[in-house]
Amino acid sequence: MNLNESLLFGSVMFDFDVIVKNLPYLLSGVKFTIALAFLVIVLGTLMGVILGLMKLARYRLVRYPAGFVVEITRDTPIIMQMFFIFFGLPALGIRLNTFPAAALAMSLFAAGNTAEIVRGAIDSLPTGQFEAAKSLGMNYLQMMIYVILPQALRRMIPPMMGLFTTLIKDTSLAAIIGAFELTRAGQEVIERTFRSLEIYLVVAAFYFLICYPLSLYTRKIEKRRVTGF
Amino acid sequence: MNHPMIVAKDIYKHFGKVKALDGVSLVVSKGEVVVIIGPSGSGKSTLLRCLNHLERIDRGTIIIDNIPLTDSRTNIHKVREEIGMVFQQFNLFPHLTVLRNITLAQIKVRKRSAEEAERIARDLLAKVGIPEKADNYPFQLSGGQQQRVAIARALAMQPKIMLFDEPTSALDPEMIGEVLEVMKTLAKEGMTMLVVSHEMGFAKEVADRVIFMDEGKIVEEGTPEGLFNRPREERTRLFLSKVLK
Repeated sequence: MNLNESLLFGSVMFDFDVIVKNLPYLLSGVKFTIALAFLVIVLGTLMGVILGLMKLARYRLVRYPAGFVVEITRDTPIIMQMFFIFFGLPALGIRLNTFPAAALAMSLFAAGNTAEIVRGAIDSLPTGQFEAAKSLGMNYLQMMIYVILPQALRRMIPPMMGLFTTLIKDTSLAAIIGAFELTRAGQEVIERTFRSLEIYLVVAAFYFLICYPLSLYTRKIEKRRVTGF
Repeated sequence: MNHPMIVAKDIYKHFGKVKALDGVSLVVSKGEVVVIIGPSGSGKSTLLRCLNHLERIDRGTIIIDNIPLTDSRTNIHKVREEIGMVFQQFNLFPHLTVLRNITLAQIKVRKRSAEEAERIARDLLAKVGIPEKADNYPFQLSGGQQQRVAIARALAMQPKIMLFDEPTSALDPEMIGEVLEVMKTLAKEGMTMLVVSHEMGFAKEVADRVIFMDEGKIVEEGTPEGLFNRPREERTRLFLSKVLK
């Protein structure tokens, strides 16, 4: 399609061509979205489990710092956290590129939310499980590994899957600080082609294709939980 | 006589403003079966839970088999290996089979081989009368069966003392007997037992001593025959008249 055609029909027709032409570029955006989401989910879950266990510790010195991080990340907008890390931290001499800044901000957000899921799942177990394990002479680690976590894990899966879906969608916020991922790729294509309708539709479709199977799967295991123990 | 298995001296424990234990002293010798009775909130469960340090006492001393619990150098996990506990709610591990429930601590805590642990577990399941349930999950068992598994799980550690915290209170009436039978066998084999229970028949048959507690204190104690038939204290009499009728 040449320039004339698109000027002539651009504002009236749904332009499939612009989609086809820019698909490779959008797909490279998808790659970065998946990379970012993967990084955030892995880092966030790791930090979150540690924070969650810290929040359940007997000692205040362990519990309070974890609580502080969890509350800050849960009770401020994720976009502010991203701004703070990308625009704020340079004032303290810490300069991160857009992608690492987005990854760090979102991982902290994921960690805070994961911590609450972990704490909630462990807290929801009957105290008798802890007492039975202790009364058999198990130490903290043995109790956690063999008795508590296997049971808590089952309760954690549905809310964790929900969190993962949210995180994947929210990686789009990284576009605001200029990190390259799917949304940013879409914006760049639109800046060049002025085809907002087509491009945003495709971008949305990609998010949907990634998240919908996750949602379906979450619902499936939630149903299974009702019938299990 | 060798040393007593349990020595509790002047122990105090409070929850908020409630005095759960208000200066309790108790000595239990090896092989003795002691039944503790008393109204709810009298501190009898708390006493049991303090003895294996599921609750931390505020004041006093507890010595288990010559090891002072209250000494900060004492490894509490080591002491707990020697104290089996059976709970009102069974507290079996729901994600593990019956067999695994009984072998887990043997392997991880007692460091036995899987084969030895399994052999011990199967022997104990036979002893409590449900050898065929080894591969079932707890939720597939009746309450009475679950409680017998819980007893087997505690016994598998070969403890020197067994604590029973209202072991039949959560059971349907027709299942109480099967659990009490197992406990009677244990008592006759010479296990040192401390039992919180209102099963007067059990107390009469196997208890060496019955303790009546009220408001965090030991009000009176004696042989089952003596305490049930000739209580000295008015509070004991009042309580017995309610339970025995």
